[in-house]
Amino acid sequence: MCQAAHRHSIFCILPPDVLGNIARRGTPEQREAAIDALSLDATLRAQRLTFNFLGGPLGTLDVSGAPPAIRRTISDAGGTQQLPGKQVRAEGAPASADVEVNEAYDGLGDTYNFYLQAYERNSIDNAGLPLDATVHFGKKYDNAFWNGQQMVFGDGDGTIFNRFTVSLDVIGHELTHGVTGSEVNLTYQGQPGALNESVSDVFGSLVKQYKLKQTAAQADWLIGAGLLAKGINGVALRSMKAPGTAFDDKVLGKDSQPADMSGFVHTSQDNGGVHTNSGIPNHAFYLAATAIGGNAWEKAGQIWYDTICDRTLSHSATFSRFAARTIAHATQRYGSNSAERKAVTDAWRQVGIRVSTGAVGAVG
Amino acid sequence: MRIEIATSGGFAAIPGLNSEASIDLAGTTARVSDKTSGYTRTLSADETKNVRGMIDPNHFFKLPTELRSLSSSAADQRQIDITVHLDDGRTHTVRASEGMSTELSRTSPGLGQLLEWSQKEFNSIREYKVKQR
Repeated sequence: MCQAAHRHSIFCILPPDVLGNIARRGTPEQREAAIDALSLDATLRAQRLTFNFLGGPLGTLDVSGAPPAIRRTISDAGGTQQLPGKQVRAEGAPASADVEVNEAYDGLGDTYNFYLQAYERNSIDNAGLPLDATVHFGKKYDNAFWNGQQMVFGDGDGTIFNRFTVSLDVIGHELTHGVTGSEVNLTYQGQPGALNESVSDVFGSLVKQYKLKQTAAQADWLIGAGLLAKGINGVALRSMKAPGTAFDDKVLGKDSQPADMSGFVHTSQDNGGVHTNSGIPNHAFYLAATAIGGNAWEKAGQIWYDTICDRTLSHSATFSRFAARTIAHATQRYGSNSAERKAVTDAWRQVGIRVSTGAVGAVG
Repeated sequence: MRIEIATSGGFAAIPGLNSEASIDLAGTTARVSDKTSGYTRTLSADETKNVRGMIDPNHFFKLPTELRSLSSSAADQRQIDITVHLDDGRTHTVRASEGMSTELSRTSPGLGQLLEWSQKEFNSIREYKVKQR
């Protein structure tokens, strides 16, 4: 279970001053929209104040003492980019004739059960937040994302990508962005952004390993296996075991993920290479989990989970700072002379992150 | 007016799938070209008029360089950099995320439409890249 008190996302839209300018100088339609948005912003700010006062998440306070219960809603965007789309399956409803609807529903269930059973976490916010997902977003849409409120899955174009609900780790990845957003909320840019991505890959992979009852030695450590369409030369989108080896194809090019700091990529694309440099902390987790052995979610996963719930970890954490906190949590859980602490320390060292003893600190 | 739209990132975030489309709106029929693949397409007069109408320079040039999604915890949305070059030499770039069209439909409806339009164009560019394989 997460030990730390919770932190939550800060909602934001266009800056109020820009909205104010639009409200003053825009066309009548623009002014109306800007005024609505400003009202919404004020409402959200008021809700945040209420939330902070009550010490719980928005709209999910549950004082009934009822046991944790999953609440899933799957919607269909019908090929548009409008969210959430038309509701097509609610919690407890029978299976649909639509495979993507069922994969999303089941994948959310598997991910929810994983967090509940492995870490006693009740949904994204640990307070039973309903899980919402939309399928059939856009036309031949080659992506899946978390928009801060719900998960969104495209159908894939069928030539490069299959449907994005096909891989359980992809669903676990997207839902974990919600978990991270509810806890440390790592800034989605540069090193903290790469850590945010890595945490989603780590727990996305663990959701799959938990479902398949695989040990660290048995797992494939691939992200998005089954997602690449027939004819594409690759096994997945990313490999935590061997970053940079997931694909090598005429259209896609070669997997560019580095496995250690010597290959760190500096770029303005993709929010500063968040999906590229995530290969480094991904590989560190793989090394730690396989060195510890057994089921990866039990010890290595617990250490990483403790770390994302750590209130002393800042939104702008670097690889080095994150590594220091994983070592601190390994120490707290398993002892300063434990094999677990050594495995975590060695893993970071192997990917080029050295953490001095003084930098580790204690867990508050 | 010329519009450049570059996309990167997304869950897959494969650099080979990034696109850099340029739309030259000088004449009555615009032309789209993609630097990463050699793809070109000439728009009809109606489509040219529609795309031109999606950008109101008076509004666009007042937008911040980075539009934030409704939530700071959003992730895996493709990064879309939109640069508008005006005939008088002024240039302005706005960074947005795909999937923001619903949000933008309230405050910047034209920009929201441009994001949706660019999504379709990027699909065509991707299909072109696949055929070139």
